[in-house]
Amino acid sequence: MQEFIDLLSKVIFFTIVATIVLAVVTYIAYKVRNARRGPSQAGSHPILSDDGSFLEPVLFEKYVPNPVKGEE
Amino acid sequence: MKKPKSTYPLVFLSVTIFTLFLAIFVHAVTEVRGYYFGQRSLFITISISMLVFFLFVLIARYLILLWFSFMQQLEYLRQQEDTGYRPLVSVLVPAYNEDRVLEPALKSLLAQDYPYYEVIVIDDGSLDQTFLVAQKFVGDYGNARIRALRQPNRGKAAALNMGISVAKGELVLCMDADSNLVPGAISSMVQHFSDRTVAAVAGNVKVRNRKNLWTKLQALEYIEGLNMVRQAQSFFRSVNIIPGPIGMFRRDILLRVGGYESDTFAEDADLTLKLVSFGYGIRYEPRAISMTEAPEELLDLIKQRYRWTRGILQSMKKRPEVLLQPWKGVTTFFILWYMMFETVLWPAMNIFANVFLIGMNLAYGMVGLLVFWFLQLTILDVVAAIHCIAVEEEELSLAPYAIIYRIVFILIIDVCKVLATVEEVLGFKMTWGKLTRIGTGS
Repeated sequence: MQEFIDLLSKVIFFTIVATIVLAVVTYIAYKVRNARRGPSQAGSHPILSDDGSFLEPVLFEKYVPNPVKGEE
Repeated sequence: MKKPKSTYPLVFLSVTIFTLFLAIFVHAVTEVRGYYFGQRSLFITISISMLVFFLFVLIARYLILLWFSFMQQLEYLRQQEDTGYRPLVSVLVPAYNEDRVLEPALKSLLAQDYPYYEVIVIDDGSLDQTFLVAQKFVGDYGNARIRALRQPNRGKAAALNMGISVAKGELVLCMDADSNLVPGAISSMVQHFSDRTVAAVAGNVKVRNRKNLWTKLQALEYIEGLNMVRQAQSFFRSVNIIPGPIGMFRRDILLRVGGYESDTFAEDADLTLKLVSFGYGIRYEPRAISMTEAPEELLDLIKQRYRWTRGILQSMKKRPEVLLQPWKGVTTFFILWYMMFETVLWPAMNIFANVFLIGMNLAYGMVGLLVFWFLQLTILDVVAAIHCIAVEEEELSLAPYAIIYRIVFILIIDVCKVLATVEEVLGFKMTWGKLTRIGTGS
């Protein structure tokens, strides 16, 4: 039984170490890859509907609702 | 609409395994006690005290979540089937470079059984064929009508606001273009709005592309880690994050609170916190399922969690008064501190516990402590996984992944959360990191 516990502890120990190393290395890889990439490009189409008409979005009201639950 | 089936056999199995957990817990406490009283070092005494505290917090967290999600499930099963409330629903699909995944998403919307809804695709300045794909679907389909809009690239929040502003529905369903709704999703969510105190309903997000270790672990995480929490929070009508892949709102309330805001990297968490801080009720609907595409590579997973962590922290930083003034709203105060705990405190505690155990193992050869510690945590994870799989009627084949869930998956995510928190505190600049869409598993 003690041998089994010893073996299990080694497996757990190396798994934790490997996982933390993997997580840190992946994080650094992500940061490096992100830093190498330039600013993302994007289209600059006008606001159009599917029938080609121009759309003017409705402005949101500047309204703070009553903080009582469900009260409008 | 189908109601969940009885899940008593699996719940019984969970209870049996939980009993085993208790036995191991008692053994572990005895083990810790032996080390605690067997030495004189102040460092070890304090460290072990913290470890035991961590253990109690972990168990309390699990038990509280399991209990309230179970209570919510009971209440949910007692609820009325159909309230007859069927207003027009507008489904908003913001899309940026999503031409590979948009078609299945729109097909899933056309398969909905709801009698009266419109779908609005908002192309957020895509560089690919997204708008052309959307235009192919434009038209009337009997109970549904599809529209497509295009705007310069302004971000997801602005695209959703554009959709909200032109939507005609009393209710607005926001979803991601890489997600597919399961038939019946709209109908099941609408039922909740017959209660006027409900402002929003969070849906049930599941991983669609379960094809490798990372996606299967995420599938388990969505069921166990995210949905169980939402289920428990729904008991208090205070779900703290309405997920991007599926969330329904009252349009008039969205207009009144100012819609989505673009100043954080987690616009869904930010909007939810805004609604909660105004005192609106938010529920969770487990039958409203959205199948989403999860990151398949570890690097993409880290990228996603980095953005989530910093976005949630940014949303919380916008509301310091809620964090510090409990008398202004107990529920909101509790919700925000819970988010702080899950995002910052808990990951830091978890990493500390793991590093401590490694140190103790190396320095003092505390083999038994290490083994019993992880044995009990694993059993607890397996119990929670089986409970959640049973409640959600999910694949039982996901349960074995609970064995490596904590020691591998959670540890990686927690390392990412802690590093992202450090960057947020230090004010590092960040950009939107869009995931590469594979477009598989539709």
